Amino acid sequence: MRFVKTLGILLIIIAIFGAAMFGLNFYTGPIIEANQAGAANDRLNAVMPGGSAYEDITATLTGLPAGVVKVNKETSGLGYVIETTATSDYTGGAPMDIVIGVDAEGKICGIQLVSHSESLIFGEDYPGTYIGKDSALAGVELYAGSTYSSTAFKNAVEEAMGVLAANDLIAAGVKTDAQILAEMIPALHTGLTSGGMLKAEAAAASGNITEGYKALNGSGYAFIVAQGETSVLAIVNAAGACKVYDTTGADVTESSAAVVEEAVVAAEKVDFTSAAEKMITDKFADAADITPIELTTFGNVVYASSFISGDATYYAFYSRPMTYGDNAMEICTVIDETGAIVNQNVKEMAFEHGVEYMPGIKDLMDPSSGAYTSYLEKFNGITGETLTDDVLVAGGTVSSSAVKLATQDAFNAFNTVKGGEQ
Amino acid sequence: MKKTKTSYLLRGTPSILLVLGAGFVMASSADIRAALGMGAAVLVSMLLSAVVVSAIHKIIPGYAKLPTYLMIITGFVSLISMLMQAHFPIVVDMLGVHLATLAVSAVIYRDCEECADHNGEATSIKTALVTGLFFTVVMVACALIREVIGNASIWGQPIELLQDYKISAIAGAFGGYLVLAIVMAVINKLTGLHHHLDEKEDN
Repeated sequence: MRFVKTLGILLIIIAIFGAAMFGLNFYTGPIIEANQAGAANDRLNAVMPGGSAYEDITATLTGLPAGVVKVNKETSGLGYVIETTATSDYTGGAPMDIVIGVDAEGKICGIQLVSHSESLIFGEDYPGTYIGKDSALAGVELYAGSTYSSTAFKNAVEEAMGVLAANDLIAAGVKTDAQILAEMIPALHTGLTSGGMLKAEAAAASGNITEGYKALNGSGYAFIVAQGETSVLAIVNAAGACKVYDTTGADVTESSAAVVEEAVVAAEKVDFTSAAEKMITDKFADAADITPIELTTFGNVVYASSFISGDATYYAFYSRPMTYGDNAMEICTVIDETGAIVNQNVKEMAFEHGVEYMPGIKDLMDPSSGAYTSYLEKFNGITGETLTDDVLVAGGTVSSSAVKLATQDAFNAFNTVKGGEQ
Repeated sequence: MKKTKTSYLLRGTPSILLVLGAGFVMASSADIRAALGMGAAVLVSMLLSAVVVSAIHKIIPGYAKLPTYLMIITGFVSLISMLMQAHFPIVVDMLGVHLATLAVSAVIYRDCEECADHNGEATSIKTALVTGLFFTVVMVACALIREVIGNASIWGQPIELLQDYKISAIAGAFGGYLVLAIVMAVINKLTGLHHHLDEKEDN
């Protein structure tokens, strides 16, 4: 009987508290759910002023780039929040985690770099330069000193905005002529690039020149030149040769004599003759009849000449590709009459100048080391057709890519010397 | 009567005299908000449990007191936990599993078993209030020291002046016990409570 009584008491207590919890859940349940939803929305609200609730519309969109993780629509119609990622290839670590708020007019109303593993990242204020921009991102610049990260960031934002525009969720921004022309520079003048990205300092504007880009390695200039109501791009190489392109990428040099003249005057030439000839004679002590060749290509080659060594004629192309820390490497590529490299001379692997280098390629910096010698010897016999990624060095991708790019530029220059196309 | 009052006061100091609930103090006193949340949870669950236990203790057989009281305490802790999750989610996040383990806290059970089980509602309520309030005061005192020194912040707001001087270990488990020990020593020195307890045990 006592046992039954005790059991009854326990069951009553259980029933009372069970009922109390059941009833209380009607009150607390919705509040807790709202709290949890609010916490999940915190990162979205941070870039969407006034935003409260969101609907995941990712599955309804087409043409999503790999980096875009999620596209959220603010349910009251304030706009969209895109969660995306970017990889800079600089550190090879986890991608940057980016959240972008886009208002109903298609302009960025908030943007945050949530996390990253970049060893060199742009300043905290950099994402703020995107606020108010439409999908054209007009006026957004890269972050000096953190080109790789800021380029990846900018590309990710551009891709994310492009998704909204491509799916007719926002009106596509219209790029200015200057913007279109500036984006063409890396493809037209590799001397103003590093890792495929524009790497140049501003050159003074004057006359019809509205924007100027000066290569950091002395390989030339790019100018945005006003021509009537439109603009054209004028590129100038180290030798002062100039080409002009319109916004469609068409070569309009012949009909732009005034632009050419203005651009050539604005471009300051640097004479690399003595530095180049020293690199030639360092390897070809008997080099004779060194004859400079007029450069007509637009790349990292800043000096070219032919010379005679022994009974053969060779062509030397002195180039200065950009690598880490805005440093220019010095490379002299000597090619024989058949178009094959007979000597590749890299003065330094450009990890100096106070820039920390990776231990795996430390030997490459030492000209007396076997690694350095065998690396350069890999180029012997290579032609423009057989140059491949085999010349890249694991752990030293940026510098060895710069060497490869300079070698390719040397072959392009060689082809023009021999009457072929670039 | 005087002896009874002293006895209740002594009972209201579990963390100081018997080191009951020291784990909760350690786990929940790194931030003042968490300390206040845990203190309030202890106070309310102790108060409600004491009222119910004192009301029904006469009909509970001796061998069933432990499961019955634990069930009552667990019920109230669960209800309080639900309310806190709804209205103080940040504090619940800070307290983590320690809020749920309050259901088996020796602090509350001891109060039910030793006081509410032998006294009427009025005495039980008074005892629970004194115990809960003192527990909260000790928690907040520890939290004040640990948050300022260990995290260089107060109420979650950084104190810029102290950012370079904070001692992170104070905000950790080691610091929790260290600060509790110091607070215990100070309170015992100021009030002589241990002396009273010793006298009580001698009698």
